[in-house]
Amino acid sequence: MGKGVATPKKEIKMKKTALLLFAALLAILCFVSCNKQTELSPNSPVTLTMWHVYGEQADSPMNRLVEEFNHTEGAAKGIIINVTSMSNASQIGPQLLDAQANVPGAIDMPDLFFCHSNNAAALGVENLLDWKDYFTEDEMKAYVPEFVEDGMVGDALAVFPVSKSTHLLFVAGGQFERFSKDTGVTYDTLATWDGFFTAAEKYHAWSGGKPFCAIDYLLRCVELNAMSKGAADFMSDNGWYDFSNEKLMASWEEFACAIAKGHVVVSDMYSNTQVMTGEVVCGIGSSASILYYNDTITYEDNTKETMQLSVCPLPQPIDGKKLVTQAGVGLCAYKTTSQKAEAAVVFAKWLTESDRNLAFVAETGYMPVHNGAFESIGTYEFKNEAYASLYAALTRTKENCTAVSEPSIGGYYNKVNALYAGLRTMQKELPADTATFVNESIELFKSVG
Amino acid sequence: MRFPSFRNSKTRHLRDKLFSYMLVMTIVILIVLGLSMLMFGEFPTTEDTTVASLNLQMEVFNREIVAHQEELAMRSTGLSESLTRAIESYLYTNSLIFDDLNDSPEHLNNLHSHFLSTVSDALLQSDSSGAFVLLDATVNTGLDHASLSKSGVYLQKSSPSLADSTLLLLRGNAKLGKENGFMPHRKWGLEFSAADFPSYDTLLQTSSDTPLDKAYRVTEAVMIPGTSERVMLAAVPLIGKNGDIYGICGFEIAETSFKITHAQPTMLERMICLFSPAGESIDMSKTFCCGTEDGYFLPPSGILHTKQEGELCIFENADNKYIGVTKEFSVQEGNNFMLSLMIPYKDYKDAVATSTSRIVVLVILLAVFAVSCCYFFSKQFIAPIMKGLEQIHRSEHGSAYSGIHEIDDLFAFLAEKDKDYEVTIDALNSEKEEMQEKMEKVQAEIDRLSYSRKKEIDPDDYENFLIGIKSLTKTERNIFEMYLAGKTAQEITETIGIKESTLKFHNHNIYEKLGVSSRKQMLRFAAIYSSSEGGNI
Repeated sequence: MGKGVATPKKEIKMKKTALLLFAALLAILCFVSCNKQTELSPNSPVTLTMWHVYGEQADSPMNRLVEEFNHTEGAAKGIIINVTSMSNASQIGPQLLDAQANVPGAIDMPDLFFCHSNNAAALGVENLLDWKDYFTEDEMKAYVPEFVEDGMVGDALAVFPVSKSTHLLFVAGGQFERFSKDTGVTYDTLATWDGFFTAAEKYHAWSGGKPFCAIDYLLRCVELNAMSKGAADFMSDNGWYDFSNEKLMASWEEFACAIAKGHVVVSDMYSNTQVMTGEVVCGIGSSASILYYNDTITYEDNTKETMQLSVCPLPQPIDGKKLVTQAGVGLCAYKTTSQKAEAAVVFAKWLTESDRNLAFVAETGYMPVHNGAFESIGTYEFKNEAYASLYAALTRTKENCTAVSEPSIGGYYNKVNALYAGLRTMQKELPADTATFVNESIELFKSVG
Repeated sequence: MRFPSFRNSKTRHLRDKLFSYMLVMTIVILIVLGLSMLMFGEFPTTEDTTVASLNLQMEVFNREIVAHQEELAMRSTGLSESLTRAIESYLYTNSLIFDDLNDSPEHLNNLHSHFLSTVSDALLQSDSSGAFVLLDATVNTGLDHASLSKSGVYLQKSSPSLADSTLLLLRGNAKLGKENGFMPHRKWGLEFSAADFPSYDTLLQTSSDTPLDKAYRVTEAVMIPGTSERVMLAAVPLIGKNGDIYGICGFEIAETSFKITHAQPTMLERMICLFSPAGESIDMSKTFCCGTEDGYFLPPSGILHTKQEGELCIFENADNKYIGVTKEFSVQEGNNFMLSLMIPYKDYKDAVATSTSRIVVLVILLAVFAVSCCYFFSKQFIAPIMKGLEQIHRSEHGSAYSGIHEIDDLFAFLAEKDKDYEVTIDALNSEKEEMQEKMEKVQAEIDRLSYSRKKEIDPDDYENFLIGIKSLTKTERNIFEMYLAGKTAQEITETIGIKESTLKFHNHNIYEKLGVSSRKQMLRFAAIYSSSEGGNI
């Protein structure tokens, strides 16, 4: 046989070699394409800037979580979260709009941020990630459905639930005990609005004219009280309230009278500061405000008293359905690159894992959003009595009350803040005639709409 | 394609030799070029580029920090002078001495009212996150730890955004704050604790004749109690006309604000800038950090140990290793800081590996290029020469044209030589023919003479001669033939190595055997014999 002529055996061997080479090439291609499924690389980490509202002006559990993420999951997958601003739930919306509009002096628009659904709508849902596209149905089932629904803007899940809050009554225990001892008012008295207003009246008299309570979200208390008593459809078509709704107006008058008499006040900014300075004995605020309560009350002569914070559910009407607010911001991701979107999803999943979600909310005074976390809350060891009291109140609230979401109308918080600012001005000099104050407050209520 | 062979042989192909020379020349040029570039710094190493890049970044960072600190120092001294005047004016108006402020809420609140507007104005004009004034006085000296409690005002910006001018009252009278439009901070407190303020005692012990700008001090990063925000406090004392020190005032730099304001523009993917108290190591809990403008920010934690390696510094803790540069920064004597710029050590090693692999690839590419060029050009250069030689081999150079001057000259030269050669051949042929003719004439003459001589000699003598030849011994025959060849006696003795007397002895025997009496007669008989026998005896 000549040199260049292949034998049948040789041909078979060559074919086998070619097949092996082809298979190896295919395997390499598969390996490369499998690796290409992620755009993240620990060797070239992507940075996501973030604004949040957890612990503004105070010790921030979210910052600690971010640090943990950056050094664990983030380091392994190539993601860095950089917190560039801490704000609060009512201010972050306008700040985001400023950033989006490149207002001079505003910080750059973050990749991740926490805000309400109406803030997300104002930013343009088309500019935000639809979390539904990145979570499977099974994954979504792990979250409390009502909280997920709260984050829907149109058809998109633009606001991913991380934690939810409700409004609670925070009482300075030491002061209240002295008051209670002298007047017979107890914590049980504060379970209803009638009892609350009676206690406020008694405290005003007992303390020599000091207000009993500072209320952070007066309008929400008015709404829920009215709704419990049967008020319905009190939002008008023009994006504000229907002032012909008798039950709504009756509820407003109930609270306005208490303010007019100096029994309660609209909080200066946050009720906790007024409790901490001894101006009031209790405050109605977000469950998350527990993070901001000092351990002591400090008086003008620099003497201090232990706070002994006790947390009660929001007072309810004697009759009617018991309602509480369902508040709290959620996580949004600004649409930029697919790599950042992938990183945002990794962070959102990590942040809301059952145990982590529980540990986070237990430090911040929120309700968890993960079903597993909710189930474990009863056996969780809280860091102090105040937190234990808070979660006891939250548990009672969840058992006895129905949660109602806040109105998600455009510019809601701007109008509400204007209303509160007006009431603060009015309550500085209270008229002798309660009716005058009530009427003026109604006029103010109408005017900010 | 046939590559030049480098086989070990005595003779080598012209093209192989040319290829070798060209290759050597190219290698030498590349080496000299590389060395020159290295010598003149045109071929920087990764360390060189890293040092240059980080030094440039450091220059920018340093300028920012220096400018910021100078601004804060200037504003602090201005605030101190303004507050000191206000305190002294108030004390004078109310006929008080400074110690009278202790346990006097009324006087302290009056002073605080004035402080609020002065401090808030200064804060809003400054590039800082907070401003404060602490008086060496307290509203209640009867309390525990009253000596550490200091009355004053501390305002903070509510957000690092310049678009938000809301100020919060962190320390001070809450009621006064609210009256002036400053809501209490959520971690509000009435008075300061001097224990929370690292430089308080040092500032209070400032010599009264020290200029305010020389008394300016910046603290390490400290945590405000109850918050997660670390701050650096830049402060000067409040020095009265009589040299009394009333307290301190200054500005706060919050960590978030520092991080946003000083984020550096850079081409480096990952870079961390540190502003730390000077020392052998860096305690991250006392250090401010910022990242890049692109958003990268992942500072290390714990203690970073530093070690200088050439122009670069290694920063290392239990988990991470970085490399970078440092620069000392002195706020005032005894108040020293260190600025550090660092990148993850892994990034540096990756850059070194990338640079090395690039050089290797470059060298390989250059080598392949050089070999290819040498091969191509040597082939191009040699081709006409080889063709010319081939033509010469085939004797086609007469009418050939190579297009190369030297080869065409060689063709012309060889053609000329061919012509000369032909002329010479022709001349030689003519001469040969002439000689042939002459030879034929001479032979005819010889034959004629031989014939006539033959007739003159005795036939018996000649017959004896012929018989005698056969009776010669070997030596005698040899000598006889040498005589016939025309050799002399001396030549014969030298040729066969005998003495003259021996030769004479042989001559005598030869003559006797041939029947001749002399050599002349012997040669004559020999000539006749040669001509009649065809020339052979």
